Amino acid sequence: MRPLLWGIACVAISFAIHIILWRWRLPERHTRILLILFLAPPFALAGCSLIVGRHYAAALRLLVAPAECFEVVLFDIAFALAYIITYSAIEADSPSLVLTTAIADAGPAGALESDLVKLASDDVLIRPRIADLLRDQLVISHDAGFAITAKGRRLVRIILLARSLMGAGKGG
Amino acid sequence: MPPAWIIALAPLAGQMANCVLQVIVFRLRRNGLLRSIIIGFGAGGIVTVTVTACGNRLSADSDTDNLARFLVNMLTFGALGYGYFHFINLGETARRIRILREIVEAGGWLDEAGLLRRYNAAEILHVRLARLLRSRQITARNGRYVLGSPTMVTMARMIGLLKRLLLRRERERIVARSEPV
Repeated sequence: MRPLLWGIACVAISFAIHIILWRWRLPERHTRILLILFLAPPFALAGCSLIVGRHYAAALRLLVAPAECFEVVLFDIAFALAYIITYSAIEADSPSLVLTTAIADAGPAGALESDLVKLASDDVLIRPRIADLLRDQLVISHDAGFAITAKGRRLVRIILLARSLMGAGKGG
Repeated sequence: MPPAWIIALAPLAGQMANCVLQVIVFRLRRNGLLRSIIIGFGAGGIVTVTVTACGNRLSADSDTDNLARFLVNMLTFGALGYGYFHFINLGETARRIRILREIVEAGGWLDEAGLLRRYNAAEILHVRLARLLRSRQITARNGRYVLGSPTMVTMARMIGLLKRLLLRRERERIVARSEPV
């Protein structure tokens, strides 16, 4: 029962701190802070449990076995990754969701493509994403343009590997 | 291997089965990304349940503990599967990834005009409308688009709530052409 309770407790603590922190002051690097927020509690718990030893850990109702620590850490990593990947949709407007909402708002009469074009300019769909890439140092401003960094290349390589495994196209 | 470790590793075994089967099914069928994701997720779930059940059978823990561990493993596998689904989707729909790929393909550097020639809002609109029509989220009637299914709108409303809760706004800031990005 302990891994379930500690796993849920760690996620709940992380999420509560996340809401408080975000409402107090929005951090510059969202993803990095979210990773720290969600991974610190389970690793701290596992560390404490392993350091204080089986006897004291049991007395303190902490996790007693390394396998239990692993379960909690894996549970929290899985939730952290799932949340962080969802967070990108919170941070940036998804074009598909914006279009669907506009079409829903138009009611049974429907929306013309010209109405939707107004919502989908480069200022809305492209430039904010370039700003994100600059902020996350995946590209840098260079010679009146954008140059990819080593970090950006690594990310592209991972995505390309996954897409080549599946034999998929360009996407976007 | 001790039963506790068999149980602890079950979600990872399930996720590995999910990835392998999803890729195989997608490569074999070539046209069904969603179907391959569903099949992979189902197979991974079966592997997670089976491995956890084997570990529980071998362990001397109480039924309550075994049930709790089963729940932990299913939640962990569910979260891993959800993350994997979005990772695949990231390569399919993420604009940041597409922009990075365009810069890589151009030799590592692109100016804004060059980037917008290769990838722009008009293309995004065209691709997204086609995708929404294909998935029947919207339908085209007399030259107008109408809602086909409420799924995406419900998602948009939920994300809007989280946006208001966390970021205190409903839409993101627009970066105009005149501003330095």
